[in-house]
Amino acid sequence: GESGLGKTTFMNTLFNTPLKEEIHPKNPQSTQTVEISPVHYELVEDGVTLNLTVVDTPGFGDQLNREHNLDPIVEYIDNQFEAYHAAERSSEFRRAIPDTRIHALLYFIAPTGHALKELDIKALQVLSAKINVIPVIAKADTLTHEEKSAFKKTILRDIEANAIRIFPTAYPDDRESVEELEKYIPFTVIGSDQFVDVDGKKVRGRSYRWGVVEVENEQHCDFIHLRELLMTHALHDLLETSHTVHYHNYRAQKLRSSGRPESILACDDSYEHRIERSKQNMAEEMIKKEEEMRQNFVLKVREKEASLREREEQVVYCKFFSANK
Amino acid sequence: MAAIAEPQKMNLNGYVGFDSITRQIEKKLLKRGFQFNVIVVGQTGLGKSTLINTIFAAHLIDSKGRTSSEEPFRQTTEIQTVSHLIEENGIRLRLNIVDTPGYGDQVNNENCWEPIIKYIKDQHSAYLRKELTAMRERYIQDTRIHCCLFFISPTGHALKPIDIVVLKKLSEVVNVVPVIAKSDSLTMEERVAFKQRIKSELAFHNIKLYPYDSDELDDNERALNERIKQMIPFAIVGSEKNVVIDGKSVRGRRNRWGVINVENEDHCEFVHLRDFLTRTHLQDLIETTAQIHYEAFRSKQLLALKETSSKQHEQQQQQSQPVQPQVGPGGPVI
Repeated sequence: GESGLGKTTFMNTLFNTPLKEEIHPKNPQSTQTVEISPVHYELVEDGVTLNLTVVDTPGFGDQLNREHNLDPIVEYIDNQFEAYHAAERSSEFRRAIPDTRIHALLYFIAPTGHALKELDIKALQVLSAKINVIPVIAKADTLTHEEKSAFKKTILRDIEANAIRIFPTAYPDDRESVEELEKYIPFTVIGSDQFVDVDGKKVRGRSYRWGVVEVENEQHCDFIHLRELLMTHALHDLLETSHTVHYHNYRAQKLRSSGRPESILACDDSYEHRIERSKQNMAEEMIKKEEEMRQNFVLKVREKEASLREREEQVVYCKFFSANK
Repeated sequence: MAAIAEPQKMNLNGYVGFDSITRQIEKKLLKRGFQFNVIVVGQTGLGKSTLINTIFAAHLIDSKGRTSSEEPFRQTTEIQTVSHLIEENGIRLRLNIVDTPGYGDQVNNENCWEPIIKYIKDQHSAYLRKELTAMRERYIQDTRIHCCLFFISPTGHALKPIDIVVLKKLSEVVNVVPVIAKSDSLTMEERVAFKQRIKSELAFHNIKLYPYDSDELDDNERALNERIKQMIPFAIVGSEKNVVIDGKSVRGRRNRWGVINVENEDHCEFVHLRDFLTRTHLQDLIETTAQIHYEAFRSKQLLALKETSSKQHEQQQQQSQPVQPQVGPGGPVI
């Protein structure tokens, strides 16, 4: 998403830890291109270890000409797929292939209240064909309740009209039904690094002169639903869909485009080789035999020539003798 | 020529009555009415139309954002003008609002500001043409843009490259007033920090914003201008809908966590912007446009005209010279 929509703050809120400190001032004029900056974390909860990689894309949507903003992102996604593909094909034990593929992409939409911008639609179309995309309405405290519902409807219509496949609605076979959570898509989020006092408790929120917004209050934004989707319900589904749908799509495309035969089993390979080799051998033999036969023929012709000449000479000699008698 | 002597200050012995000239001017001006032209520039969805409707307390323009998926994307910045006649206490104001839908919306935004700059310059040139004609009207209709409201997206970080480029170009041809749109998404601390950053960036890029310094200001006006400059860019919230606060119906926005009163100084700076535009600096905006921007445009155009006309003159002289050698001593040569 464009800069200033609260992506970094959101990630800190989602994992309830200051993963990354917001670097102020973030200067969008200095970024000439989109940077891809993956950061790796190891989170432990109740004995379960989660290796989390968060990839931020600073610079996206900032320049005057944004036609090539998607290229670095698509390249990164493809590179991860390629690395996995190479590891899969290698002869080593594949017990623990390091999985750096992107399992989920959160696309932050600016809270304009209108329909999606051209850049958003292009990005969503390209990215949702490659990985799981979850659209998110950023900075939702700018919208009133009515504006939120109207905005969600507009976005969903835009998504449908442009054939964008978002997670989880577009993958009904690959996950358990999460219908309850689906009706909140696209999720409105508010992120906060600060804590405010509400009824004596300290919760994450933003304090304005006219009121206090709580991040985890269902009435204020859909943050808890999104967190439920990502962490509780769909964490495994995201991983699976990435592998069974997106990675396999990538793999099939790659194999078909490189023109390799469908089977890469070792035995199949040498069978073909054997056939090739025997063909070659036969060809060589044929050439040799041809050569031999030619040489034989030439020899025989010469012999015949020689004997014929002898006879000729004899005939001439006899004639000479008979003439002289 | 005799030099005009320095006038002597005389004391009057009785009441003459020429101090009523202010009232005479007022009557004339009332009959003529005033004209104010404003252009709004900013990306889609920042609340430009809503803010104009809030400032003038009437539904003057419609939002031109893309609201359904069937609508096509605008491929370039369009210029759409709406004209209204509003009246208050017998004073009639003809208000021209120029909207710029499509600005900053494309994937490739290079040169998206050109239609806007061209429109502003076209108004100056139309006025100049009318001024230069021999038979000109008594009161030329003034379509020159007096004020440009530039909307900044409330990211909280810094200005985007497109903002810097366009602000630079706009501030050379029109009075620019930058505004932070939808500032209800910024807390107080974020707002202060954001404004600070914007101000330092504007100073770094040498962008001159209205109000300008001038020698004719007296101390009060100068102090007022200083206060305005401290507040720029104005952090505003716009609303056409009314909400009820303490039994009173005011314009605002109601959320699940609170109600924002647009006219409350604690909530946003809308009141300051409105007073600045309509109550204190309306006349100054019109005058500055005429005296600074229009004059600059005019002098450039007239100098260019002089150059081209002198070049044409030279060319004509060169063309007339070859004729002469033909009439030589041997008589006219054909």
